[in-house]
Amino acid sequence: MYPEEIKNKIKEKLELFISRGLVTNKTTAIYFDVREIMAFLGFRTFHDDMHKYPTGLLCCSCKLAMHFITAKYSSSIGVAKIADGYSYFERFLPEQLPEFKSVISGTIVDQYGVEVISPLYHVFDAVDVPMTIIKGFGLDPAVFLGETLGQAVCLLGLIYKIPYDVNDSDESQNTFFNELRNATLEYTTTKMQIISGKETQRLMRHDSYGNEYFEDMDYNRIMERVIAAKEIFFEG
Amino acid sequence: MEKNKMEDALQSVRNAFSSGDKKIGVLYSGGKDSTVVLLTIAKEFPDAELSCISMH
Repeated sequence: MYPEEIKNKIKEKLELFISRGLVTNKTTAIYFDVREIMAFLGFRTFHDDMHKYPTGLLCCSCKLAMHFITAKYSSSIGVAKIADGYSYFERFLPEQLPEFKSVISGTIVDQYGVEVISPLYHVFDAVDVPMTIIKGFGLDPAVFLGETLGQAVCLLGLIYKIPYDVNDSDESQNTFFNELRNATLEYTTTKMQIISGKETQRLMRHDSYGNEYFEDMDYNRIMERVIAAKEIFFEG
Repeated sequence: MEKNKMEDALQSVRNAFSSGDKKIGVLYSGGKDSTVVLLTIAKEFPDAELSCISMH
């Protein structure tokens, strides 16, 4: 999906929920472009990572960027608790394994005074649970067309043959998931060292005439730019 | 089943937040999982100001 499509999809849903009286809160929607910081954390080493770790674990760099951007911004507007939609059922995704959050949560609290929690992690224990609850709110499942089978299957997942239907009694799956848990711990810890370090990367840029130039960037500078470029696209 | 899961979700949200949380953030993609999180928080804490944070 393109950024405009994502924002429109969210805006339409928020308008629907408000019109139905399902959301009566004062509500603001904010968009961040996470791509540059994800590239900084994950892409430079991706070639090596895809040989070293199951699935390459690029998802963890993406979600690491999302969590830290969210925490930094939230602390600036007085939000101390943030909820995500992580799900026990979707623990085939490395960032939804407890190991991912176990590495990042303490630093986020220490650095920003913010908690990112997964309030429905154990409620979402089967593929049909979220849609069942959505129906309970009186919403038409067609609003979520294409999402009935859970998380979208990504290319990396197909390449690495991630078991999308976790079966705890399957020995071969358990071997895979034990490896994935350890890899998630190691990978995320390594990426956290980038966040807390002073590493700079030389990034290729193009000016408005299409000429290449290079810019030395570090994590904090990219983070400042991402936060500054935020877009508030809905207020209700 | 339907009613139980709804009640489980509402109870989990009540455990995770309190009426003292005047501002609550939600990592919101517009997908079904984060929508359930958003709607249950909105139902249990209608006075909280919600910030829906999305990214790409």
